Amino acid sequence: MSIAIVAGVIGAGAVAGCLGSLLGLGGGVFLVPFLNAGLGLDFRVAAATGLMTVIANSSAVSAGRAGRNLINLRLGMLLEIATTIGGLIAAFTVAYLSNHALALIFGLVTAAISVLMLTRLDRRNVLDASVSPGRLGGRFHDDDTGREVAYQVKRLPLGMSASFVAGYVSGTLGIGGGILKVPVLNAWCGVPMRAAAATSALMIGVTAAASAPQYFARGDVNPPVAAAAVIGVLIGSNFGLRFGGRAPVKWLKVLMAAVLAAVSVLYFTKAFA
Amino acid sequence: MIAPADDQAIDRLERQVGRLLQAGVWTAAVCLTIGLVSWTALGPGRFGDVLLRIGLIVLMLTPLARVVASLVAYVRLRDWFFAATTLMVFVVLVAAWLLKS
Repeated sequence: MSIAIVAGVIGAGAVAGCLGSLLGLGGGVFLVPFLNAGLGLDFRVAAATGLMTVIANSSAVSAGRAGRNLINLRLGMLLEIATTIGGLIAAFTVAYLSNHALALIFGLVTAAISVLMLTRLDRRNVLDASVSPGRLGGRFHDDDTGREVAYQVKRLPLGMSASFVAGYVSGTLGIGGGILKVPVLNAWCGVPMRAAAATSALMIGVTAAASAPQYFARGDVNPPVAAAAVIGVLIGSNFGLRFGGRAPVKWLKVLMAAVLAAVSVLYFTKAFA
Repeated sequence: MIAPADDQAIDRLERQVGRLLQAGVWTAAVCLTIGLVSWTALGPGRFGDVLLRIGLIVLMLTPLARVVASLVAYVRLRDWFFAATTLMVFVVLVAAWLLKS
């Protein structure tokens, strides 16, 4: 592997990390297609690299946000039961999935989320601070309105199911799975976008840690590629964190949907080529 | 009966978890950077390879450490529902290291 490829992976990691921290994703959804379709790495090597960057990005983003009350630790931990089981099952079953099947899953997942994001652009879910958030809800300072707001968690079984699927997809494709959880938590479970994104950002690291060791043990991790990607993602996510607070949520969602639609077309083309 | 949310304790936990995650990621990042520089400058070799592997293992263990920290905190708060929740996540993560595919 040449210095040019190392530099390219660091650069791609930086872009993915920046977009990832802006959108509350691990960034894997942008990086894995680049490594797989762009650099021609095997799907499983790309996925293993993606999982490493997800862990790094998750820890960096959550550490940067700690103290802002956006992260819902209790809800996150409860949903992590489902995501880690999904991730663990994925790590064992991915060996039996063909590249065709993986491309198809990637295309379907990204297409579904892209549509979901566009149809739920303005759901904010924030309640007055006087409302009791219940055992699982939370309160935080809302930058958009400048007030203290509260939210309640609804339809927990739906959130758990979505988390299981997100965990499975994360462990199979090497993406964080935030693209699946964040819209569901936001659209149906009553969690405001920023709280859902921050909680998901914390969760995806734990989720990825349930499948990464299996990839590592099987030799699917290419250490220099993974190192370059992790370093790039850390640089990018720090940059994204610094400017993310000022970007309007609505345009973040439109940007996210557009990128996912492009990734989806790419993988459907791969699956049916 | 579930203990009521102790907002201050949870806030403190959030900050401690943040510091723990940061320490893990920085340790991993330093190992990975030195390993990668050695790997590209000197070519594949034992020194670079070992450092890269150590960095990746530390990285993979960071979320596990954060789950352990949460578990200790919930036990201390006597919040048994969330202590049990965290314990289940811990068991799955340990299984990820121990099970053979």
